[in-house]
Amino acid sequence: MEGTGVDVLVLCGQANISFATGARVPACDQARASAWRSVAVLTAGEDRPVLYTAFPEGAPDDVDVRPFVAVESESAAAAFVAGLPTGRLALDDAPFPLWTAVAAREPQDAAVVLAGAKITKTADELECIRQAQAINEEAMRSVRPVAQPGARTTDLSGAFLRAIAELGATANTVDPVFQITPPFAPGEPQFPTVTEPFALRDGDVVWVDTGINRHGYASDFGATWHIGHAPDAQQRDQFARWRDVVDRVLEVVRPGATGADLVAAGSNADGTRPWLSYFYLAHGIGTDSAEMPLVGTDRGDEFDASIVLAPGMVLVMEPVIWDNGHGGHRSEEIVAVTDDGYCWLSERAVLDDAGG
Amino acid sequence: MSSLDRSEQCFERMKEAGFDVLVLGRDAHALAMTGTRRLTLSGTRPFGPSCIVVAAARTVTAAPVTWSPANVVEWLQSCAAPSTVRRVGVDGMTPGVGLLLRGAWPDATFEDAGPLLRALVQMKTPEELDALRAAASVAVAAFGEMVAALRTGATSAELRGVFAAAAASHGVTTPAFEAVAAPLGGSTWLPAPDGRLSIDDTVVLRGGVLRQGWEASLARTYRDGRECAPAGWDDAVRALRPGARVGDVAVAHGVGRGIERLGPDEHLEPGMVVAVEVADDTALRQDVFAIRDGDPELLTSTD
Repeated sequence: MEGTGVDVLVLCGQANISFATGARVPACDQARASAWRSVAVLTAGEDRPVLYTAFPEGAPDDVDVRPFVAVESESAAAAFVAGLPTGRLALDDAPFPLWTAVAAREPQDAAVVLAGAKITKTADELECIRQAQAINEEAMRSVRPVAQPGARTTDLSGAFLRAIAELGATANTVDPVFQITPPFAPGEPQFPTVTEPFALRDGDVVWVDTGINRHGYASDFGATWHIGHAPDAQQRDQFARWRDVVDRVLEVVRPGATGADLVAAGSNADGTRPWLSYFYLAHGIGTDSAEMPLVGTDRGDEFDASIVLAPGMVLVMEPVIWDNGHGGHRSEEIVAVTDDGYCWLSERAVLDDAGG
Repeated sequence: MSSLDRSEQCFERMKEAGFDVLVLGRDAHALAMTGTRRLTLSGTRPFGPSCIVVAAARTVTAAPVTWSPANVVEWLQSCAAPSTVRRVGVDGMTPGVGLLLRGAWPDATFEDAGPLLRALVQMKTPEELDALRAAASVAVAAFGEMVAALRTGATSAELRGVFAAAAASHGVTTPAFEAVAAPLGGSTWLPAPDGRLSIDDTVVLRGGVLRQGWEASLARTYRDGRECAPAGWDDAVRALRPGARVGDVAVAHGVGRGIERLGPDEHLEPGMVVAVEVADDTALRQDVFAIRDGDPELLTSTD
């Protein structure tokens, strides 16, 4: 908080609270998680964060635990704000009653404090992400054999959810995605969609996307599976092009490189981007499954140029390759920026049928 | 009732309340308006526009996928021209999105859409009750698998996996919360991650699902392989009558697309669906009931 001018930081977002305090809460859907949300208050010059929570058993010892505050109710939110320390206040996200109560303090966005702190990871944080990713990948090794003609996509989800629980995941964070992707799409394919219980058929192409959490840190697995048959020449070519984009980008990943440098490296010779227009080339990961740095989005060149890589930043490489009429390839690989380049946090092309 | 009917009702309520536009970020709210489920991510997420409802035009529009604030502003203005927007209802706020919304509609004031949305979805239609019954049947079936797997030496994580796989075998992969097995007396929401159940434990099991966005959940207590119930359970159920004050009965929260907030001074009415939880030193039990004239309907029956 030093150097930002913020005296009081109020956090209502679960991933931000996990980052700032290390506190655990049950993994719930959004409605329940919002109703039960904890609130953390960090004050400049104070070492101990204050945590208002219904789950004191999830709080580390170095946190000052107070009773749950129902910040979705007007009266409780007003009383809570009245008790906050004075000074310049920043806030991440608020149910509207809390927003109303705090409005007179003209809150800044908590990103002014958190963005810089979250974007580079410590060695411990990188290890947490690596472990979470290893569990995600290990679970997928047991799921891939289930993905045969006749199996339902939700059966794959079930096998995955059971495996991660047994392998030490503390929570699942993304409803597992096993998306049967047709060769044609109007414009670009929609991804991700909700996994419905569809039976797999011979020749289906399945885009896989799963995220699990371990001790507050996320993972992100992506692969493309070909059901019942080996990938054909075009599908192998799509994988090769995907790999080529990632390799070209990795050649420039080092401290000081900008997001614009990565986009330029990954682009085609004519300057066009070989990934879906509404997606990205890469995103970060930490206590959120997708967080800054976001590189190669539709936010524009200036934004990409403003991202300067530094040791500890994490890049989940996710350039989705699409040939309308012939489907496409989608995988994810994760690196962390080091002092002189990068290191791997995921395996390469793990369980990508066309990459074996 | 379809989302189309709910959105029609929403337009009327917006006119009564004087809202020109609603900007909704919560999945449950967007789903109620659009009828389209989005990929479920667990936990809270910062407020951002995922759906916009315009009263005058009677339109519901899902947000485009974009990372560009300029694109969001352009989209908001294309749904509702700045000159037409005076009062906007929202279901959350962040300082960053606040700037963006004020940039899109400089003359607008922003207010809580929560009361309007709660009133809109609180009474369930017969079709919605059927959707909740279907969710309950999956929750109960998956819960049964978890009970069957309960044994000395099992971990909470192992039983969570059993519940999740069983729900998935019924086509449901979204939990309302991740299932729990924990000794009574400790935390029944966040047990020690590596704790193993002992033969001496009285064990509380909790499980819940979201089927097509509709929630059902239950909890039971077991000792020596037999189910035990807390004293006062039958009285708590009998108290679930129309007219009862929420603060006077054992209602934990409303149930619909996820949990719904119910204030202590609200009163039960036919058409509401609620979660009831009772615990004492010997047992904990939680079920979902539909309120109706006379006795309530138990949706999560394990008998």
